[in-house]
Amino acid sequence: MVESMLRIRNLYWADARFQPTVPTEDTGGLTAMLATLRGQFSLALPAPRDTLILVRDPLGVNKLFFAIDEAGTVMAANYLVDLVSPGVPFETVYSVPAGHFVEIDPHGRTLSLRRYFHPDAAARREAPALDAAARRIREHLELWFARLAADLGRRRVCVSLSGGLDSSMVAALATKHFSSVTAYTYGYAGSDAPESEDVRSARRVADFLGVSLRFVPATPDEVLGVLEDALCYGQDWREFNVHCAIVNEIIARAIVRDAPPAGGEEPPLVLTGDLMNELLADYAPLSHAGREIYTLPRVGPERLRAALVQGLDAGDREVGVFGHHGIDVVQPYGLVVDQLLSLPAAFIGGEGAKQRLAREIAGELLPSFLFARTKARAQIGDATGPGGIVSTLQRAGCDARWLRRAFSRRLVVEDERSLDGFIRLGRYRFLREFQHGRNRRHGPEAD
Amino acid sequence: MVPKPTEIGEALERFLRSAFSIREGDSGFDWDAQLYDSGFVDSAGVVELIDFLESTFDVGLQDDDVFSDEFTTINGISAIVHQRLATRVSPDEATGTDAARVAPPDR
Repeated sequence: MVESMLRIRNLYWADARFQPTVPTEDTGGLTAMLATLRGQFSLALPAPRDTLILVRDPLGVNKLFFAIDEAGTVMAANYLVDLVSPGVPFETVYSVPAGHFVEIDPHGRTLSLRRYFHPDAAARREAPALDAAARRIREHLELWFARLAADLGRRRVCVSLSGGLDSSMVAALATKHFSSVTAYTYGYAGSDAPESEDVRSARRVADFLGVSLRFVPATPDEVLGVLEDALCYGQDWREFNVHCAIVNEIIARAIVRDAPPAGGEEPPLVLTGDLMNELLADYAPLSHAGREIYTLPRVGPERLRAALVQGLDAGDREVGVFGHHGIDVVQPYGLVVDQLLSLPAAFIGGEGAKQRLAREIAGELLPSFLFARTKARAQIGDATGPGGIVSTLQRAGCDARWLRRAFSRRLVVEDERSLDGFIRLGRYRFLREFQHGRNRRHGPEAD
Repeated sequence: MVPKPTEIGEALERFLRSAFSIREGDSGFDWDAQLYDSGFVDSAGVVELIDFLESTFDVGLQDDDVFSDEFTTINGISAIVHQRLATRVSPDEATGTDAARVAPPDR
C-alpha cells in the first residue's frame, strides 16, 4: 500500500527521548504526541483500517512528497526526483505541509489534512527583558546540544561555519559539547577574488574556539559544476535557494572527499546555523548589478517572520543537499523554535537587534569582533562588493529564468508554467482532498 | 456594514496597481486575471497582498483562504474577504453577493 522512498534519516525527540514510537491508533493521541516532538522527520506510518498517515516535522526541515497511483499505492519520498524518475508525473506530486499530517485511505479514496503545530501559537505579545529572554534561549540551546552529543556524539561532527554570528554560535556550542569538531567554510576562488570577509571571519572564529578549520575553495567552473545537483536536491529553482544550495553542495562534496563513507560507520553529522534568520526575520533584500535578486515582502517584522518561517516549507538547500551524499544535518536553532518564536516583534525588527540578542545569548562563547561585523551572505562572501556565486551564475547566463528551465528539465516538468502553482507563499503544493483521476503514473505500463 | 465584493475589488485593484506598478493600459490585467501565473504578483508580493487585506478590512485570513484556487484573482479574493467579513456579523448586516460571479462595473 505504501512504497517508501524516504531516505533522509529522521532525527527527532520528545523531550529527552530520542526517536520515540509515534502511535497511530487514534488521531487525537497522535496530534497530542506530535505536538511534543521537536527535530526533523518525515514519517509514513501504517494506521488502523488500512489507512496511512504521513507526518512532517513542525518547521518542514525534512521534505515529504507523495503521489497516489490508480491501484491505491501511496508513494512517499523526500526527494521529488525519486518520484518523477520512475515515471510519476510531476503534476500529480503533492507535499505534506510543515507541521501537518495527512491521513490517507487509498481504497476508500479519502484524505484528510490536519495541522498539529502552529508557529503563531508561540508568539508572545508582551516583551520580556532582553537578558531574560536570551538566558532562556541559551539554557535551551545548552540542553539541546547535550542531547545531540548524547545521541549523536559518536559520529564525525562537522560545523558549516560561514563566519557569521549564527554559525559561529553553533560552532562554539558544538566545541563545548562534542569531543571533536571540524569546521568547514566555503570560499569563492575566482582569479579576481581576494579572500572574502566571510572566510577571514571564519578563520578568526575557528582560532578563537580552537577548532580545526577546513577551507573549501571553489572556482567558477566548480560552482557551475555543482549547479545541477543543487537544483535537483535543493528541490527549488528560486535564486536565493539555489545559490545557498550551491555552497552546501560544495561543502558536502569536500566532507565526503575528506573521509569517504566506510561500511558500518555512522554517517557524518553536520551542524549548521540555519533557521535563525527566519526565526528572527533577519534578512534584507539583496541587489546585484542593479537588480534586486532576493526580494522580501515590504511588511512589518512580525508578518515578515511568519512568511519566512512558512517559507521553510519549500526548498531543501541544507538537509536535501547534504542528504544525497549520505550526510545528516541538524539545525540546532530549529530545536529552540518555541523560545525563538516567543520573542516579540520589538526584539526582532530594530537596527542591530540580532547582534544585541546574540551578544546576550552567546556571552563569553564568541569573540567580540563578531557582534560588530556587518552581515554578509555566504554565496557572495562580502558585504561591500559583488562576487562569488551570484556573479558567477550571472556571467554564465544562469539567471532566474534559466534556473526555472533547468529545474523543469531535471525534474521532468512537462509544462514549466505548472511551477507557479507548485510553490506558493513559500509552501509546496499540498492536497486537501482526494484527486480522482489525477493520480496516474507515467511509464511503460501507462496508456 | 460589510463592504460589497465590488468595493473590496476596487480597493484591491488600487493597491495592486500601486504596489506592483501595473499600468492602466495593461490589457491582460482585469478582475479575472491570474495574479500569480501572469506575473502581476510575485511570491513576496502575495505576503504584501495578504497584509493589505488583513489591515484594510480587519479580517483574518486562514490557510484555506489563501491556498484556495479562488485566491488567485481579484474577483476570487474579493469573494473570500467578503465571505470572511459576512460570517462574523449577523446575516442581516451582510450585503452583496458572490463576487466571483459578479463582473465589476466598466470591466
